[in-house]
Amino acid sequence: MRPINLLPPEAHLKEQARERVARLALIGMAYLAILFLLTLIWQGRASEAEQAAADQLEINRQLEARVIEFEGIEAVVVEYDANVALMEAVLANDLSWGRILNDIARILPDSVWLESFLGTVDTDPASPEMGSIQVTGVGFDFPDVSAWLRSLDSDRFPAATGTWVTNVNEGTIGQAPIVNFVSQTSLTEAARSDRLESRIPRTGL
Amino acid sequence: MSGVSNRTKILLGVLVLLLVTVLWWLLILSPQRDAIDTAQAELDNSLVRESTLQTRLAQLQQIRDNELSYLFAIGQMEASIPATPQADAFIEKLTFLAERTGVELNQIALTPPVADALSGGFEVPVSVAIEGEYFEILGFLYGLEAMDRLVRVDSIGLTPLEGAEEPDSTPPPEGEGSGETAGRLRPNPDLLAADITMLIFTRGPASGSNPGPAVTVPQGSAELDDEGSGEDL
Repeated sequence: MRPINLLPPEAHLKEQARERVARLALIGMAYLAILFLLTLIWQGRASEAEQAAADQLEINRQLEARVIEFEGIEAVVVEYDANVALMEAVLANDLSWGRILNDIARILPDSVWLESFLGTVDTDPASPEMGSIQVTGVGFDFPDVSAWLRSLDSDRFPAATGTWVTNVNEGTIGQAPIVNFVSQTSLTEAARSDRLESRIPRTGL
Repeated sequence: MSGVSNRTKILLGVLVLLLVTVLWWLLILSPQRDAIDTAQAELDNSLVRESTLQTRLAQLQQIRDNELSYLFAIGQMEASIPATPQADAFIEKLTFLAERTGVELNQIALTPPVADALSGGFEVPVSVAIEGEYFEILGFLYGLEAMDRLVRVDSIGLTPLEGAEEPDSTPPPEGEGSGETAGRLRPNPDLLAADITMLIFTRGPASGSNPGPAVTVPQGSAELDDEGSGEDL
């Protein structure tokens, strides 16, 4: 059965207006509830972030305490480094004279022998050479002096470079003719000893 | 009139909601967001700091695990370069090395320690005169390199050893000779004299008695003279 409204239209309009206001108020309340919910969510997020930061600070505090506890051990490293620096400084110009003499004996041409040997270290840091060798030698003939020069400047003796003969004189030993010569050479990095590596003990780090 | 009033009410309601939203944003949400940003930045910094601390801690723990090897290395280097010159021990070791390698030790000259600005330590210049065969001298040089005490050889001079006077078989030039045989010194082909200048190192100057400018070992040269005088070159 169809309902029949006998109220005047003004009454219906008022009712509609009341309903609209009530709906608006409801929407407003819902909106405020949403804002409240959002506030709660953001508050939770902020609390979580602050808690995480505080937890991390606590972890850091514990780590700092452990670092402080261990820091005394560093003195041993400082002492080791100072010792290494001292060893490196004193071995900066260290040459292996045993090896140099051994190598010279090995490459010496058959027809040449040495009468004197003077080897010196060059401690001048500006100098490119590590040291020098001066020898006086004897050969049977002039080509023997050439052989001496070739031997010293060959790849077989990388410790020497720029070998020079300043003087070659004819002479005799008994009845046999010989030549006496004076020679000098510069020592290269290859003459350096390996004690910088062997005398500085490594620590396993 | 009542229709306009309703619209106004709705408009006012919307305006109030807008105002509430703005106030909510400014007074509640914005401080929350700022707090989150601040906490996040603090957390990021703390994480970086933690990473640094973890690395540092790992390094320190590694050092502690290797403490013995550090102490051993320091001990070895302190044996190489002792705190005091210890000239007495060095002379003993040098003598022992000479005996072991077969060279005759003729002289040891020790100069008091000199400060070395470059290394920060002290250098003790030492001059040694020895005699021996080539390979004996070579052995002596290798022995110096291998000594516990760090020795750096800065120069070495080798010369054949002068032998004893012996009769010269060649006849003297005419008009000069009276028939007597002329004596001369001939080098011994096997024996060499070596003058070695070296440096030993110390961390401090000499304490107590000052070492003399030179310490001479006379026995070696005396023995050599005795041996050399009778040898036929």
